[in-house]
Amino acid sequence: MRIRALAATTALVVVGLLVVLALVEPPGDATGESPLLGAPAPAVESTTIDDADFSLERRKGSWVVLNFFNSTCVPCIAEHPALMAFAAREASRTDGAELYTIVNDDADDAVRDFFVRRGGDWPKVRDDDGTIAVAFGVARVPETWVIDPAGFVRLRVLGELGSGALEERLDELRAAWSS
Amino acid sequence: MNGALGQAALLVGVVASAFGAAAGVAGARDPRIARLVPRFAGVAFAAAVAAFAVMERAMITRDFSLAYVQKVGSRATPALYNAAAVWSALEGSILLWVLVLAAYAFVVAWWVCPRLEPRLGAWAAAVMCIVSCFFFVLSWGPATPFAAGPPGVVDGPGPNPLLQNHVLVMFHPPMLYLGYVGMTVPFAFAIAALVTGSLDDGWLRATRRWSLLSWGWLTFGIALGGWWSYEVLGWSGVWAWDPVENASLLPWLTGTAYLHSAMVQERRGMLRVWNLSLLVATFSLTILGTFLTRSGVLNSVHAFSESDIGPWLLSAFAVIVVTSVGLIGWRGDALRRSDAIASPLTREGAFLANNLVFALFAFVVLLGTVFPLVVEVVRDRQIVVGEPFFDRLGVPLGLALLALMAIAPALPWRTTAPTTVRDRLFWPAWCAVAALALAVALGAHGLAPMLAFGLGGMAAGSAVRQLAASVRARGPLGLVGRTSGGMIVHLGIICIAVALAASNSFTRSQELDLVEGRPASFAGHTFTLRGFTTTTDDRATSVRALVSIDGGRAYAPAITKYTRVGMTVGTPSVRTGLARDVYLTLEPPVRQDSGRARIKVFVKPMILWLWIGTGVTVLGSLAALVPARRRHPVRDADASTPRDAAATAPSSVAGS
Amino acid sequence: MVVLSRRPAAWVAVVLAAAALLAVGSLRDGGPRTQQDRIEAITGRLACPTCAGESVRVSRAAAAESIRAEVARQVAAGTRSDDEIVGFVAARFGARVLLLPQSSGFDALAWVLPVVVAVLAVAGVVAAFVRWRTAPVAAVATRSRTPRRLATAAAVVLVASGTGLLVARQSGERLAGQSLTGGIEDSTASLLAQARASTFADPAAALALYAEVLALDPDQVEALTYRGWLVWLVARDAEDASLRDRAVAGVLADLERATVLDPAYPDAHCFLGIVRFRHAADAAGAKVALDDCATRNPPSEVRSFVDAIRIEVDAALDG
Repeated sequence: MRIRALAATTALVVVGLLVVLALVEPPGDATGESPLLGAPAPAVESTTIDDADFSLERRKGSWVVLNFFNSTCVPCIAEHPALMAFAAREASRTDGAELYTIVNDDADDAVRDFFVRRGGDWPKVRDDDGTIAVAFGVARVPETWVIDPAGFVRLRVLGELGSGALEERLDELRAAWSS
Repeated sequence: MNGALGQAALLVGVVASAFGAAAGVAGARDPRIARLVPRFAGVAFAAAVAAFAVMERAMITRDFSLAYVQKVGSRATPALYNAAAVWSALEGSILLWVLVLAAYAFVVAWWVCPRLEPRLGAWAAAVMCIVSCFFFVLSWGPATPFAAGPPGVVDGPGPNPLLQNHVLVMFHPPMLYLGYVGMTVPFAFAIAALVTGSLDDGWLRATRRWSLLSWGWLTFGIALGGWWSYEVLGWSGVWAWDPVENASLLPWLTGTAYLHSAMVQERRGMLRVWNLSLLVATFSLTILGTFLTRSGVLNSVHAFSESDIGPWLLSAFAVIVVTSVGLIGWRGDALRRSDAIASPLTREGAFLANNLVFALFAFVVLLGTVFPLVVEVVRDRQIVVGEPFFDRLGVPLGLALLALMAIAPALPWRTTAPTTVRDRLFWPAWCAVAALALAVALGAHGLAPMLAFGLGGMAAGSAVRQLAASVRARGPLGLVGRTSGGMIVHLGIICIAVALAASNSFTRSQELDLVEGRPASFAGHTFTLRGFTTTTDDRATSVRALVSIDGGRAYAPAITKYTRVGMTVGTPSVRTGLARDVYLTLEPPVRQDSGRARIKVFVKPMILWLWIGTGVTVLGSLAALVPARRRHPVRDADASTPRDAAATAPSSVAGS
Repeated sequence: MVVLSRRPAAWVAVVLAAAALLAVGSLRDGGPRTQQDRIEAITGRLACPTCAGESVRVSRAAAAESIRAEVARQVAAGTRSDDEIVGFVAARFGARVLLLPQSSGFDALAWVLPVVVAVLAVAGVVAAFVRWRTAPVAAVATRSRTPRRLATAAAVVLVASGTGLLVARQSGERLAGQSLTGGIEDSTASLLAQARASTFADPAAALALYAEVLALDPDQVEALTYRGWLVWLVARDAEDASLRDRAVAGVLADLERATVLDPAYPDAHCFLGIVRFRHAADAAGAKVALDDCATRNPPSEVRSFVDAIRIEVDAALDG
């Protein structure tokens, strides 16, 4: 009798485990959460691949978009046209957002070649030792971050940007900002 | 052509093992049909060999028409690593599993079953064939390595660069599988015993050697994995509590418990439910472990790709557990014994405690591995459970096991005899004191390591005492046989445990900026950069820093960039010593022309003893396989007699 | 040999010796940790964000390399403790990089369950031994023992859960992983961000925040610039001319100091130009400053102020 009871309990526990294992999905991308959302953006001090200085703090007063990028990552290549369209749109506005590429684990030359071949003349910021990636908690590329004119982090997009997606989210944020 | 051949072979395997299973089930009633089972198993084995041979041929001839070869084959990979590339990814490793399983099924059906009570033998062969059939189906269907890939591909990336670094990659997976898959055999016999109702110890004795052999392979395979991690990965450790490592450890834990607990069943006919449960658990954990690591539910260094294999394995796990637990529940009353264990201070009591500790250890490892999934389903949050958790809970359990190893060999069977036990523990206790003194003299600190050294010393003393008694009674032959072999294994395990305690607690590390020609010192050693060498081939570019330690020969930690895959891999260089290893890694970025190198130095005590202990363990398990003095035909064995003279003669003379 | 083991003195000696050596060994410390030892300890507590289950210490992935580099930087700087560095990384990557399950909440089950199972198992074995010992007597009055059995069972469960919770509290991760820990640079940045956010909504609060920043770091360029700008915005409409002049003098001093401290900072130049033109009608001085401003690529908000005024300045210079 005791054995039957033990057997039944074991079976139940295992069934529970099976339910859990059947329901779980392989870890996909997180939904763009971050402890940094709504908090002041981390300080970023670096140089661009053209050897100009870059300091994120100094860009307060503009909407800033940071795109973490690597020239060999497939979704980065795929989202490039969307970024180009975004950059063009913002350039035509007086209060246009400033777009910066943060180079993640890549050589200057590779990055330069990429942009020469595919276009895109916004500044590309070096991140040789990964400080900027760690400061934002970026583990995989591509990621896109939007920072408001007061310097607070407003949006995190993981993975490839859909065409028009960034423009839409930015317009929402701008509307919320002016109200 | 290769693809078609391979698929055909696998299909033959499916059919043959299915027929074998049917013949086994039918053969339980009709001995004539039972004689067909080895033939079917033989055909299945031949099919598995054929399929594997075709796969190797495809890999060696770089037949890129197969999707699998496109994935892990490459013209640039050297022959050795290319041959081993067959089991470097999911589909190939399932194929390897099929090969090993079919081999085991054939040998069991041909050799073991005819020597057993007919119904038991038939059912055992049937279960082996059923499991075999399942894996054949898996390899023929969802995880097929013979699927055709997109046409026109002339070269591939080769296996993961981490798997092209060290010759161990040839041995670690096959050895591990020999152990892993070997656990199917005692499981098959356990199921057969439950189904047929012949629950005496005939099956137990028949499978004793299989269990021990599989256990030996599994232990060796796990140790090889640790060695690979140490030599290749560059973080200077041997065990990271990675999900794949845990998957291989879980069956080892329950398997070790089973090996001990089976002795109680042989002697006293007790703990039968424990033994059956442990066997079922061991086998189910191999399936569960494979599910966890291959389905993509967790990721790790080993997890290669996700495929639809997940639901299959999960279902198999469900079927196995539900069937086995159901059978145990059904036979429940027949398994109970009205016997009792007189006191915890008997050998049986110690083995019961042993079962508990190992089961608890397995529970902790399983919980830690699976807990992130539970949290994700219940709380929709991602968490990670890693090394610190397993270390914190595992260390007390490990110390408990050492304590059991120290005390149990001194305990008598059946009755408690405090004075005898006290006498037997006297010299081991002094060994503990000696070990502690040595540790303190060498600078050890911290409660857990000190306890490990003390208990390890005592356990070593107990093992040596037992061995000495055995040698005194039987001369040099006293070193072989089950009990003595077991004591040698204990010595090996103690060696490993003490080495782990020392290296985990007392590693010193430092990052050094070396300038060429100028020695830097750390932890009593000097390091001098002598220069750089660069080697390039079409696979990779490798930069090596030549560092001489204490003015001796140069050791060359390297950074290798695999140009095709775009992956950079660091390779450590290790100076092995009896007391400590000096482990060097080269840190990027490397600027050769600057004449400087940044290296990390790890001084790791007692690492060599891990490998020495492994060797001793393997030797011990071989010694334990040597048969007892008088071989008794298993068929006549009546296990209801508590003392079985033949099988236990050596130990009863030497131990009790 | 047998004789010795029967002497109690020998056993006392062995036990005492073992205890003494254990005490000596356990109580002494291992000496100072090198920086690399600290890095190993810290990275052993952090999970690599792109793998599952591997710690940053073990993983060879790129994300793990970056985190290791950051930890190395902070350990070398020496300003933060181990816990603080772990918290720093967790504040950016989220609590999912903490390798130890939390000491409270649902996650604490990872600690509680093994302890509960252990206690229950031990209790089960003890019960088995009791049953085996008293087997002959077992047939008697089982019914009256049920309430006692229940009470024992309840006590065991209680002890089990209590011990489990204790272990969880002792061993679990207590860092929440949500708060940003930091040194001076973090608090300054936070103050500046708050000040900037409340510039239009609550200028007085913003001014107070800038004053706080300047108390911490008198050479903080952004604070100087924007404090000056805010004072200008308030003072330009003041009716009392001498008050206005004094205020603007302070503004100009702040802005000029900012341009000296960091010539590359655009906003200071821009505001300087605006104030010079609007207050002192100094078109030439304004033009110089505004040109400096334009070449330094100001942010769009500032640029919008400047674009409007440039036309006027040019007109004033021409006319």
